Amino acid sequence: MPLDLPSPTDFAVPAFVFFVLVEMIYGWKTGRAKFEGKDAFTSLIMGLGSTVSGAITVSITFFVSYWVWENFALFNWGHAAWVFVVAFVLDDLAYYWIHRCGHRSRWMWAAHVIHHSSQHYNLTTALRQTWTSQLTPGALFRWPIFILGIEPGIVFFCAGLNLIYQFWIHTEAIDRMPRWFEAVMNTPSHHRVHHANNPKYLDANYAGVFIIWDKLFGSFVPEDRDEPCRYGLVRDLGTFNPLRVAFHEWWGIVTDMWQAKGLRNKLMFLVAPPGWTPDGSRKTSDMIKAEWRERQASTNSGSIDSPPKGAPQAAE
Amino acid sequence: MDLGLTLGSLVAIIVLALLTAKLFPNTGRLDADRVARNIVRYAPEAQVADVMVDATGNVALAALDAPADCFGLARLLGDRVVCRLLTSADIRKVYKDHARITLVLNDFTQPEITLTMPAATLAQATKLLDGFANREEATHAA
Repeated sequence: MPLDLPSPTDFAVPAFVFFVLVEMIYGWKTGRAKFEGKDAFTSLIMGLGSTVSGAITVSITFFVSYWVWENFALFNWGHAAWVFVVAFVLDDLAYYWIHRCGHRSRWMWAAHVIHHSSQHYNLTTALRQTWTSQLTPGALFRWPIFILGIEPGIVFFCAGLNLIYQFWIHTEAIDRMPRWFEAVMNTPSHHRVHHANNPKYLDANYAGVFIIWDKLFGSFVPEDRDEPCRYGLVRDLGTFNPLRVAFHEWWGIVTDMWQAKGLRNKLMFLVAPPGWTPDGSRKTSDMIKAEWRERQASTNSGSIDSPPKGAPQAAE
Repeated sequence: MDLGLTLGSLVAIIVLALLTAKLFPNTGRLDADRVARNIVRYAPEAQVADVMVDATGNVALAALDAPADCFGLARLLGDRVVCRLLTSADIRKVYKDHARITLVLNDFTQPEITLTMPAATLAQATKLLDGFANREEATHAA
């Protein structure tokens, strides 16, 4: 009999609404948080749609997860409080790798890109969630936890708590947390870097709750006060239409695969990093970072002129 | 899924979005400097030669000295700017009349862009776009 635990995010919804309102009024009064009406509407609708799509597929997810646990679990961990703590940490580790692959493989990026598609960074951005994560192999990353023997219900409960934790870090209203906290936990500062499209910040800080995973696996980049974050995608979306936002990358994958010559190229358009093309006509994040490093080196050595003074640093 | 929670969320979303629009009104418009800065931000290799902003201040075209064979498109989306460097392959169709140019693009998130322009700017923009159409034709002819 599966463990019957509540869904933490359902209980958190009123708090989400309350804190969005608080940040909005704070931003209006102080200018330290920026909002835009249509952008906020799209983010919130994407959040609602994500809840609906999750509800439609939750039975399949539970069925498959319990099948793995019942048939392949190596140990029986039971339901003690310490199991929840271990599950929370392991789920956060799994989240780190889901998230990292979500940026490094176009198949998973097609679902995750939605969360990065706003040029704003506020608490509504936290709720701009995908409708299509079920179409990616992301769920496989939690199978090792089930095989270790932790019941899926506990893992999904912890994943809900993880998602709630990540809500408050989507803000410009908080500058830095105490040093000890910044060292161990994911914070608004660390996560601003993750959402920035400045070349320096691309593909960094994948953590959910514990930033130590990024430090451990070499993907940590601290926020630099001299390099203000610009938010959004390297190729921003030209729409607020939720349907186009939800499916634009899937459409891109399908058309690229359709037009690609040869099975290898078709597959690469699915699994290679976003921006990959056979002829290099588009740019991956690695290419963008390499070009940026070259420009930095040339600027520092004086072989080219400094960037134009008018070039925007912050979003505009 | 709780229907009450879903409907309640929908009401909250509408209220929050209306409140946001009221508290953070959009008053910004594009101008030549803003367009040039954002094109360079989007594509650091770009060298902007000329900017043509449409009458609404929401869309602009940019003639480029580099890179070759493309031009810049900047569009105000909310209070932020969305940029593209377009080649002839990105343009499906161009419709023109006495006051407007409509670009039909191979872009899922902005398939159609309309620029309303005074006669002088329209002539400039037409010349820029014709240049790309001619180049494409020349390529085909070769």
